[in-house]
Amino acid sequence: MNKQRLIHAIVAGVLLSAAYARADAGKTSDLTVLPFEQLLGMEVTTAAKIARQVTDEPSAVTVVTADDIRAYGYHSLADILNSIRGLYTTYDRAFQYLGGRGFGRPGDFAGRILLMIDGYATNDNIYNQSYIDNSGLIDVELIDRVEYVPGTGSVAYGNNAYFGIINIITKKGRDFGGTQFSAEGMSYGGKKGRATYGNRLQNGADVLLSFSWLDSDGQNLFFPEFLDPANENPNVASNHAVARHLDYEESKRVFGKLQYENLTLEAAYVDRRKGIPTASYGVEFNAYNQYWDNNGFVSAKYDLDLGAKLKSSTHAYYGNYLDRGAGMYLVGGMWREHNLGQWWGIDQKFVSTAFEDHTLVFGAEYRDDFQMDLHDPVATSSHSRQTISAYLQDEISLTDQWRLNLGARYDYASDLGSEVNPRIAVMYALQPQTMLKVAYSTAFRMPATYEKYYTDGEQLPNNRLQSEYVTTTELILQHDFTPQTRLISSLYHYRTHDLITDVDIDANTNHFINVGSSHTTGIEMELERKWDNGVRLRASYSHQDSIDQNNQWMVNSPRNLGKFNLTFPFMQHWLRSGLELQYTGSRRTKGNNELGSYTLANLTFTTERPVYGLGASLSLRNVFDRNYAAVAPDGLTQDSLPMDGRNVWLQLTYDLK
Amino acid sequence: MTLPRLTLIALTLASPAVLADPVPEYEMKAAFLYNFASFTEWPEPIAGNFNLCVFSNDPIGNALSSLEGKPIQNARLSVLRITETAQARQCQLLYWSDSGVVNVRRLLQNVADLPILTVSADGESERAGAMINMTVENNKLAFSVDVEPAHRARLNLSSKMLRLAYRVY
Repeated sequence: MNKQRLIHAIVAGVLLSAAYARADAGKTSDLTVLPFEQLLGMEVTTAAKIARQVTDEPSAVTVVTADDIRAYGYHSLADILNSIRGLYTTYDRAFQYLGGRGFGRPGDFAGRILLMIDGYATNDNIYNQSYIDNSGLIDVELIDRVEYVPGTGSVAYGNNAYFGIINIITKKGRDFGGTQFSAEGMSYGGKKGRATYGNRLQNGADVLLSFSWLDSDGQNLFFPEFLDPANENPNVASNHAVARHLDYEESKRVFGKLQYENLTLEAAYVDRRKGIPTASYGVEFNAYNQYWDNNGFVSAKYDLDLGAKLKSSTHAYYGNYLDRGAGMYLVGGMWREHNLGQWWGIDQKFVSTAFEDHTLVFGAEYRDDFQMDLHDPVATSSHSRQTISAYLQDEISLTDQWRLNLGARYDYASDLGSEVNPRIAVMYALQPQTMLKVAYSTAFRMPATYEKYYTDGEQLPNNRLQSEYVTTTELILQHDFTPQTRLISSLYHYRTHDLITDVDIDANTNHFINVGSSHTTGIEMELERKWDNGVRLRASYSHQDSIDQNNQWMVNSPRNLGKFNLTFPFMQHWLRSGLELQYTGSRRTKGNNELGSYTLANLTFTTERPVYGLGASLSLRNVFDRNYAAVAPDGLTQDSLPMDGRNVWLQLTYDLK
Repeated sequence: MTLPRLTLIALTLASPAVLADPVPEYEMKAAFLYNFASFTEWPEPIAGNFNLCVFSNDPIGNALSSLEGKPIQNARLSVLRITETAQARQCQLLYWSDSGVVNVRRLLQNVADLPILTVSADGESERAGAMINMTVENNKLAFSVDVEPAHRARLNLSSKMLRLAYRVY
C-alpha cells in the first residue's frame, strides 16, 4: 500500500469511528427505593474527569492512566513518557534515555530524572540511571498511573530528583480480579508473553503476582559510517556496514505485591540482554557485543496512625543492580566487564496536622550503598557510600485562597559531605478552578560510581568528583474550565552548575569533571479534556532554550516539542481507537550537525472490554513510515542513528476470573 | 497468517453480548449519599431541614436534585450548594470530591468534631479525613468508613453500613 492510500484509509477509518462514537443515553429510575445491598452490586458508568495529582502540590503534574496506556498501545515506559509534555527519549539501541526540560545530553547514563515505583527510588548506584525500556522493572500492564512531576524534587527525595520525578503507581491485585494471560507479537521478530494473577483475598489481603518474557530478533542495521570501500580493514567482519543479528533483545520480569491492612510488601526483578549493533566504544563492527542488565528490589512499607493528627509511614528497601558488558575488539580480543551495586535503606516519615492551618511532613532517611563494585580487565575497585538525610516541609493554609509551602532537606553522604536543598512555593487559588503557583527550589545529583571511579584505560577515574547542582524558578497557572477540561501552563528557568561532564584529557584519555553548566528557559502548555461519551484529548506544546557552558545550543535539546493524543470509542463502545502525534524539533548532535525535526503518528485499536475474557490491541507505530534519526551518544562513531520505520504491535489478552 | 488477519479474527470474536444497563456514576453516588444519611444516627434530632451540602462547582451537579424533599431522619432533605468552607457548619451531611474543593484540610478543620457526616469521593487517599469515602472499583461503586472521626463527632454509624463497607478503619 502506498503512503497516499494509507493516509486515506486512516483518515476514513478515524472519521467513520468518530461517527460511531456516541454517548450512552442514561435512563434513570429512583435508586433510593432499592436496598443498599442491591446498589452495591450494580454496575456504574464512570463519568469522565481529569485525574487529580496525588504527589507534590507545588508542581503541575501530568498523569497518564492505565486507560491511556491501553488506548494508545504503550508497551514500554518510554512510550508513555514520550506522550508527556516536554519529555522526549533517545534510543541508541542499547538503552532509551530520558530527556526533559531541555536537557537530554547523550552518553549521560544518568537520566537526571528520579524514577519511582510506589515510592521506591529505582535509579541504580552504578550509573544513577532510570530504566525506561525493557531493562526497566515493570510491565506497563501493571501500571495504574504514571505521574510526571516536573521540577526539582530534592527537597523531598534528595539525590537524582534533578529535573523531575516520574512516579509509577502500580495496580492493585483486585484490579485484575483473577488471572490474566497476554500474548504479543511485534515487528522485527518480537514476541512477549505475560501471566498475571491479582485478587483480594477473603481476609482482606490484596495480592498481585506477574511474570513476563520478551524475545525480539531485532533488525540487520546498516551504518554507512562503517563502509570500507577500499577494503582497508583487514577484518572481514565489517560486512558492507551491515550489523547482522546484533539488535536482539531478551527480557524477563517478575513482580509481586502484597497489601494487608497497613502493610505493603513489594518486589520486582528484571533480567535483560541486548545485542549492541552500533560498535560502541570502538568494538569491532558486526562482531559480538552484548549488554546484560539485572535490576531488582524488595520493599516494605508500614503506615500507622499515632492519634488523630499524626500519621507515620515507615519504608524499608533493598535493591541491587548488575550489568555485564562483553564486546569483541580487533586488538585485545573479548572485553568483559561487570559492575555490581547493592543498597538498602530505611525512611521514617511523619505527617502532622496538630497545628491549625499547618500540615507538617518531616522525617529522616538512612541509605547504605554498601556495594558499588567495578570489574573490568584494566581495573577492579570496590566502593560504598552511606547517606543520612532529614527533611521538613510545612504547608501553611493562610486563607481559603492562599497557601505557602516551605521545605528543606539535608543530605550527608560519607564521600561527598553535606547538602541542603530548599523549596519555597506560594499557591494562590484565584477561584476554586484557577490555581497560580510560584516555586523556587534547588536540587543536586551525586556523581555516579561510573563517573567517579570507572576506568578502562581510556576513561580515567576522578576521585575528586563532586555533586552537580540546579536552581529552578517556575510559574504555573492551572485552570479547570470544567471538571473535565484543564489547562496547565508553566514558565520556568533552570540554571545548572558543576555539571558532571565527560572531558578529554588528551587524544587518548578522558574523565568526568564538574565543569559543565547550562541555563534553560522554557514554556509549556497542556490542555486535557474528557467527554462523558468516552472521548479523551490531551495536547501539549513546549518550547525550551538550553544554552551550555560554551554559550552553545545544548546537544540533543529540541527547542520545540508537540504532543497530541486523541482517543474515542466506536462500534457502540466495543472498540476504541487511539491516535497519537508527536512532533520533535531539530536537535544539535555532538558533531555539531543539526538533525531535522519530525512528526510521528501512532494509531491503536483496542477492545473496550473483554468478551468471553478475550481482549485485543493492535498498534501501528510511525504510521507514515517517517525517516528520522536520534542523536548518538558519546562512545559511538556514528553522529546520529536512524530510528525504526513503520512497525506493528499486536496484543491478545485472556482474563480468567 | 499475517498480523492484520489475526486481528480481524480477534475483533470478530469480540462481537457484542448482552449487558445490564449500568447506572451513571453520579446518580449512584447520590443514592449512596441518601443511604449514608439513612443509616446514621445524629446525637440530637434534626429540626427543620436535613441539609445535604455540596460545593456549587462539584461535578455531581444535578444528580442530587432527585433527593430534594425526600423524608430523612424525620426531616426533609434539602440540597444546599455552598461556596465557602465556612458555610459548612450548617450541614448535616457534607459531601465533596477531588474536583469540587480546593482545600480539604481547611474544610475539615471547619467542621471538626461537629455532628456532620463527612463524605468524600475519589479521595487521594482513602484516609483523607472524611468519615466515608466512595470510590469506583471494577465498575461498581464502593465505600470505606473511618469510624474514629465519626465517633468524635458523636455520630452513630449503623452496623449494617459498616458491614457493607469494603473497608472499615
